[in-house]
Amino acid sequence: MTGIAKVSNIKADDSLELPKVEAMVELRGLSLDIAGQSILKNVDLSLPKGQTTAIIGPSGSGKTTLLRCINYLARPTAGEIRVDGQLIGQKPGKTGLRPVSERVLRGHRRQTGMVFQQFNLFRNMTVLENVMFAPLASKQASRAEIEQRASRLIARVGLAHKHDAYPSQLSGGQQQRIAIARALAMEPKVMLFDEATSALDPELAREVLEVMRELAQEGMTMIVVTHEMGFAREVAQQIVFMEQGAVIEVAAPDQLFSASAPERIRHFLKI
Amino acid sequence: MTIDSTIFFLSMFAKGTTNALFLLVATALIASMIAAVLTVLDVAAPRPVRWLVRCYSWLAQTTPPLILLFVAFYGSSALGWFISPMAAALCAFVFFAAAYYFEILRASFNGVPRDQFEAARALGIPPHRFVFKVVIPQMLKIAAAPYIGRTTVLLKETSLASAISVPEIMNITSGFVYSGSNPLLLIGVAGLIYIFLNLALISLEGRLSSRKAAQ
Repeated sequence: MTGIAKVSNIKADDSLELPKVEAMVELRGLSLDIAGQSILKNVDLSLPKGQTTAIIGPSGSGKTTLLRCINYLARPTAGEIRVDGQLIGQKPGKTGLRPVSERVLRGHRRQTGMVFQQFNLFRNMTVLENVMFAPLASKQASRAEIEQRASRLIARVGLAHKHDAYPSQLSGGQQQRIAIARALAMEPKVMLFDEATSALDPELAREVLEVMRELAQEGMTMIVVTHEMGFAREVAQQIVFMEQGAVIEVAAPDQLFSASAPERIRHFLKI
Repeated sequence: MTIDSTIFFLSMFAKGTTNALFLLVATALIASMIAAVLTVLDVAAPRPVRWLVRCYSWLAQTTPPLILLFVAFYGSSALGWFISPMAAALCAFVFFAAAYYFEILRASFNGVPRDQFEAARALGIPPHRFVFKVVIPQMLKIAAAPYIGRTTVLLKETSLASAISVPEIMNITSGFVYSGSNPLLLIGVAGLIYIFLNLALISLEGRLSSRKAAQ
């Protein structure tokens, strides 16, 4: 709670202000350098609870890296990440922040659900086993409970009849819906989508976007890196535009998809 | 042939087959364990250790097995270390078979799609659990066919141990040939034993892969 109050004070640039809703994900001074290259440049963002944020921008703008920093799949060189007020990947030490152990980091990661461009399902496991694997590993409930919840999630993404299928027997769209169910099985506080429909043809992409739209409507906090401008415009409450590792603009879709948007963004959106 | 000599003939071949099988199974088991350790080292150990593993693998695969047998048998006795022909053969066979098995395991590890590693990290799954439930099952599936294939070659290679007088199938065969029996009959019998044993190995592979094919 206190962290959220601070964020609004820290914000120097008024154009980055978001609607006043309690933040689920907060990024402060996030930077990532790889081999002298600056991939992320001092990113400050505050993403509200229960809302969907779309991150758009040209290739190589750091969208995916930013998303991967939120669950520490990519380690930022500087800055802080908070999910629901909790510091991710770091803890306060005597001389500033120190990295946490792998074990603690696993706990942090369970609070975010990640959906990848290439689905990344476990190939030797059935649909049900894929969804049950992470909850079983973290022993958060009994096997029967976990199985029941997994079945519900699989039904929710419309694949109840594919319980015992292996990933290789599913279409790309079905695999991605299972990947969403698998991420939801950990009951994450926020869902991260990394170009979740880029590897799919428009028809299969639609069925995945439909599941994502429903999730958004149910009040899941979602951060979506996407090239689907239609989806961003319809579903997201705010859009982050990135270029060359920096956040250029944060705005509501109506503002961004309009003639009054900055020249660079209009050029990118071709409006 | 009299009944007595037939029984002697059969019992000698049974002994030869048993010795060949012992050499095969003992080599396969010990070499597999070493190969598993080498694979873990190759995946997880620091660079100098990985480099040593690769050097060993290269050396073991490029040296003719017969040289390894001679080194193990005559080399050890030259150093005043007298070991039985079977023990020497086992050492030599394990030395090169471990390298071949290691290469198969390494290739099958590389065949496990990497994107799953990232998914496991993102889901907060502990590494050991991921390795045992995802990586190893997928490695075994990829490795099964080449593993059995290499083992059939290994069975044929056990015949080389006759050169250091291990009483295996070919050693028994040449014993009978030198004592004046019909060479074609003897070679035919020896050949049939190898064919029969290899067919058994191949059918084992068929059984393994049909079970895995369910996935």
